[in-house]
Amino acid sequence: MQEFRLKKRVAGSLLATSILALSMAVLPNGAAAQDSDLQGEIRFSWWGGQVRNDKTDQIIQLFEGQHPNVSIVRENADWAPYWERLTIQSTGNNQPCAITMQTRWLATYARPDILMPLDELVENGTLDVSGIPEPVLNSARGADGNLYMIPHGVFYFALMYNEQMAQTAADAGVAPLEYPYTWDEFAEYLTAILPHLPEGAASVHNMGREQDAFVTWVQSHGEEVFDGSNVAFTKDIAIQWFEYWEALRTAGVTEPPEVMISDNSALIEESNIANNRGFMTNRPPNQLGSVQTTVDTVSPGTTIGITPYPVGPDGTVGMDIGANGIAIGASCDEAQIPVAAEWINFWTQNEEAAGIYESDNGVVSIPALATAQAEDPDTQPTQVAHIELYQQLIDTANPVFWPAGGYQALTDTLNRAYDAVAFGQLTPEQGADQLIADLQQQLSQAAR
Amino acid sequence: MVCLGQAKRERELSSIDAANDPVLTASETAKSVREIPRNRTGSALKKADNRAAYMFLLPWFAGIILITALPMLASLYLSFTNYAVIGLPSFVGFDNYVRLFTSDRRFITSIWVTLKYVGFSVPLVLLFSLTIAVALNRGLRGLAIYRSLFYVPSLIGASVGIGLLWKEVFGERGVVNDILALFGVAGRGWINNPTFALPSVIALNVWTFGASMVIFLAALRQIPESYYEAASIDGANAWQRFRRITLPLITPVIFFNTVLLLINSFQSFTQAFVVSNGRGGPVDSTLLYSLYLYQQAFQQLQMGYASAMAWILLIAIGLATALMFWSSRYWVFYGDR
Repeated sequence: MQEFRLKKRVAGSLLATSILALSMAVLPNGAAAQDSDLQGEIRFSWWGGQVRNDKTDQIIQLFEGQHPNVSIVRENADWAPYWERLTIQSTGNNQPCAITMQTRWLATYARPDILMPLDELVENGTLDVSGIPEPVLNSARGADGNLYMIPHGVFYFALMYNEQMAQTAADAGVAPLEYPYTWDEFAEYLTAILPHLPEGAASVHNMGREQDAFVTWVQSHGEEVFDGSNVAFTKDIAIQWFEYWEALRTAGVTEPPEVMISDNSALIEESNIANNRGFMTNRPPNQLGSVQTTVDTVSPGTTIGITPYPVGPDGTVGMDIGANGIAIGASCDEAQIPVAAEWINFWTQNEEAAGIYESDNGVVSIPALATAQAEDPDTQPTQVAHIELYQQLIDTANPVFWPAGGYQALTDTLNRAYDAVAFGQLTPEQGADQLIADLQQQLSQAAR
Repeated sequence: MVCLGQAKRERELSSIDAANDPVLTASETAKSVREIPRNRTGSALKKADNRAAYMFLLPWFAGIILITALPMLASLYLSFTNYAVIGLPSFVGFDNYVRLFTSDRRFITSIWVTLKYVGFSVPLVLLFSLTIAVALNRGLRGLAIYRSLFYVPSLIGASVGIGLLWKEVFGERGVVNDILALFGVAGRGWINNPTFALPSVIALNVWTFGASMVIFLAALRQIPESYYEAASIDGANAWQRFRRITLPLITPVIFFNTVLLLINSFQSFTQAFVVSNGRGGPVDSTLLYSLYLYQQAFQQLQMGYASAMAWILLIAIGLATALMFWSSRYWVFYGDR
């Protein structure tokens, strides 16, 4: 009898264990169940150098560790080849399932036959956008109003400067720049600091040809850069821009035009700022870490700081911001969409993943994660500076809606127009005429 | 039927053997050959031969059709469309061609830049290669080594690596400026200055004169020594011998080299692309036609527009080559006329 009871108890325990195990297996909201359900292979593409590749690889490994039946095929490239390849892939309907995308390039690809509209996946909860500020999320919409990517990093533009040179000038009595400063105050400071710089060094890289600086100038003077696929800024504002930089150049505050052309496309180790030949330049602040690392080797003891662009005469901030995010390719198989969606959720929402990436390609879009990164003692000081300046500026930023081909068009046409002015081939007025005519032609061509 | 067929084949084969038999006289052979029936077996052999020939030619045919002819036809069609790579092409007639000539300032600039490039680099390459070839044709010791040394740049000259090297050599802190500094001359960023950028690219092209030089050298070695001996006896000096003997006799090779260089120069791309970071700058000073075509096709994704540019280039090269052939009757000496 006892034996029977024992057997009955054992059998009961086994049954209970089985029921528990079975119920755990079929419960839809169990984390373990969700992990085991997800399976398949997707291709994920991104741009960037070795540091970013390593971080991305770590995040992929973390994701694959949590989803053993999922495999992510890595496709990375440098910036320019990345877009060329994506274009060719899109033509052949062979784009990856998960595509790193940027708001400046989105208009070219924001079509349902290339990228999948994501609104439905957001509405039914497949994609988690909680915590992403509404303006940042809306910057990922195409001209048709559809949401085409989930932003994971917000980038902005600022200036890098040599902190030791600034201190030397301050010690010599030059009043330091205190933000917010106007464009005129900025020019006065750069002129004042020049005599205190090492011999042959320029106060500032000539930004007459740099579109980030130009966009900030236009918007800080109360004008828009684009109106749909049309040029929106006036000829006067372009003339003033050229005259502003010509005045600085002829005063010796900037480098000569020949150096100007090569400096911003040069490797960091060859740039003026890394070699104490220049006080200030306009590299993207998310590069602060790599610039500082290089400077530590090339010019030990030098530290690089970041400061915002000047504001307009009435205090208007003209800074553009953009977002990098992940889109889903229209060619993505239906069975792969849940994997791609989960991958996007992981990338944008997972704190550990965000910690690994350390806002490498724009400050992490969820403010709570950005704060956590800035407060984490393990975060690189340069990244902390990058995040803190972003938090200081984000509320006043003025994002530009870039039309198809607009980024490339503005970069090319501004380069050509200002180069011609700087080499004395065109007057500022002729340069402004050429800039507007060429830019409008390229925009119209892209919009055909 | 089978036996009859075999007997017939044997007869035919024996006739062929007779035709090939070396012991037969010419008339017998001719008679035997005449007796070969013009039947299915003869044509079958011919067909088999043709089949084999076609099989050997197949890779070439496949290449010419798939890699050259079809893409050319496709680009001809695309040149009449608005095709932005992403999406489908839409037919626009001659719109691309009209816009190129009426509203594209940079298109006209690229033509001028290319004409300057061709106009300077082709004569300079000819001059350099002929001069070096004449110098090397004097029976120098170690000629093969010199020939190889001069030829090497033309093997690597159009490569990206050499373009990058050139950028460093003519850069703000490049070797050229270092050498100038030894003589107290202040250098400049040669390739970053609109006045000097194109000459720097031309210099890079001239540096690759080796291929033309080798062809000239071969031509010079064909001229009989006796011509020069006779001229020397008549009192001709070195310049007169070159002007009256060498130059006329190598005009066919000058013509050949000119046509090749002309075609290559019109299509020049890599050096200007690398030196200007793909922009054709500064201030469009190195905007060669092929570079602008590339920008339209692969940077601005205007494939229809770029296709129209490609066809205009093809026509321009065709006309330039035709002009060369037409002019050759006045200055090329073939010896048998």
